[in-house]
Amino acid sequence: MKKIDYAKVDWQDETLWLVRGKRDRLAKALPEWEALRDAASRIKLYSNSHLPELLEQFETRAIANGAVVHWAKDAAEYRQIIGDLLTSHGVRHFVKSKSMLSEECGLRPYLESLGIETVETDLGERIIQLLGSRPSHIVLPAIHVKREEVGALFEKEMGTEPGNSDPTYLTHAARRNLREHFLHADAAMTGANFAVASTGEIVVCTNEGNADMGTSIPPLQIAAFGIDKIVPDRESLGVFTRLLARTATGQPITTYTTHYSAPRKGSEFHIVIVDNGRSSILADREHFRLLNCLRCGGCMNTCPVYRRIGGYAYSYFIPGPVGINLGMQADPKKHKGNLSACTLCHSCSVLCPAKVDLADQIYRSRQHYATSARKKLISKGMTFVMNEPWRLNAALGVAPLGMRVLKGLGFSWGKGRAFPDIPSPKKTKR
Amino acid sequence: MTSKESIFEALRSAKPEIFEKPDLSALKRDSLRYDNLQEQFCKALEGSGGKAHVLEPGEDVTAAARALFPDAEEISVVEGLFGVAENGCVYLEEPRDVPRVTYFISDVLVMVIPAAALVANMHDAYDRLGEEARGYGIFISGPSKTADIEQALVFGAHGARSVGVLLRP
Repeated sequence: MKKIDYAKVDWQDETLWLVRGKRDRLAKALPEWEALRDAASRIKLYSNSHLPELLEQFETRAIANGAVVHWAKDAAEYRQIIGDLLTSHGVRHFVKSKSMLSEECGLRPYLESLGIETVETDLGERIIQLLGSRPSHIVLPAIHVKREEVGALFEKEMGTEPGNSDPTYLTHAARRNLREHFLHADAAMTGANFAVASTGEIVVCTNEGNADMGTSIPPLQIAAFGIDKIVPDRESLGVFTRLLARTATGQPITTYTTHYSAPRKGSEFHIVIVDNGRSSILADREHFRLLNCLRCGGCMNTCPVYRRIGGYAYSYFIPGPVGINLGMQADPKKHKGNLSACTLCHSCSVLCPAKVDLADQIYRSRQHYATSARKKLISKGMTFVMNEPWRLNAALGVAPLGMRVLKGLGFSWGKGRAFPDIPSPKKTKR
Repeated sequence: MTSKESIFEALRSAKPEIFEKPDLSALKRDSLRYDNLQEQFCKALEGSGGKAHVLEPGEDVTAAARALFPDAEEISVVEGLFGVAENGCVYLEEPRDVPRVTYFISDVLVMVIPAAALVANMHDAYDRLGEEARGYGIFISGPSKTADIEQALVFGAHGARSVGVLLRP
């Protein structure tokens, strides 16, 4: 069994809790906060229940703006559209900004198999790419990596000073290194935080400016988004841009909020609209509100389980409360184990800026999936013991001994926990 | 069937519960207002790591930009359309005389906006923009930043390391 680094667990727990605290301060500063959440939820419910007309409107406007629109029903089509675009344009060097959709669809390994050098430009994603690893949080992808590890990595990859793990020094080293990639890129790609039906524009929110730097230089720009990113109009962007960064990182807004509709002069702008299972979520009466998700990561920062176990403890690539539910939609057999990583404290549901009923969805999924033969047997056993007072008293009588035996055997689930002392039972009368 | 058709087919057969579009007018009317937009804008900009300066009538823009960043070797000065008081951001569109990348590749970026062109919040900002496609538009609030290494805040991730806003009378 892997040794647990408790100091790191505590650090991650405390750090994410600080992010949650920043969010709370900003939320409390706005008397209209709950009205904003309510508006966000209702706009999303409207959009997701009117997708055909809004998508149609988006496409018409986007084409009128000079963009080229592609449709992908699944991950394979998404990969192929982007692969074909890059190969037909002779792209060798490709820069991309953070996109959960690209992780979902396995874009990077596919492009690398085509011989296209693909560089992640978000600092956290770049660290993860160079480590050959995967993000452990959707907004803070390298939250689990310590500065010394980044220092050692950059020393090897970028020739930084040995032993220097100062975040400012390392960030600026990455800035210089990635700037070379930006200047020599043949194409750039972003995801989208929002796709606006009334204007045919896509909106990208970042703090680093990597998406902006990337899309400002090469002659080919690609933006890809899932159909649930559609919002009806700019008026609704007022709601979402006020909620997104406040919830995600505790900032009033991201540093850059960029609206792309027409191709930059002398360049091409391609938009890829992707389903990949979203229409099935829409058809699921118990789970369609998952499509409200803004991918802000707020539910991870507040989750008492996620903060301690981190993203790698989950089998799906998106961890935390929303990841548990998205994983169940993607492949319930494979990901039902994640359902255990929840105390049903509902902190995520209370915090979610678009009011996804995250904890209730986990509860409902448990009713369908979290029943194994072993659990049924335990449940039957408990019913048997608890139905008769004398049986319960007898069981409590032997429990202290049982605890000592379990301690002696060193059961793994007891590590890091205190075993309870079970008091002697009082005799109860029927 | 094209991919678009099969996606639309799947969406229609999903038969979702239909929700109406919410009316946002009450939310927008009741959102937090500020007594002094300029004061709030400057405070929010400083909170995001930027610097603000209100120009005197007739004050030279270049000299004022230099005074904000006396150690800068080179400063890019660009024109913004308006600012947003709640978060200190400035809205810009495609620049006229320089390539777009100027907004991001410059070490020091100074944005000039009319002092009168301040709105309270993002609702007002988008109302001002309306629903017409505008080609390209961006809100910038302060310098480029990251906290991807141990949540330590660092300015100058990829874009400008320093950002100033000059409010022109």
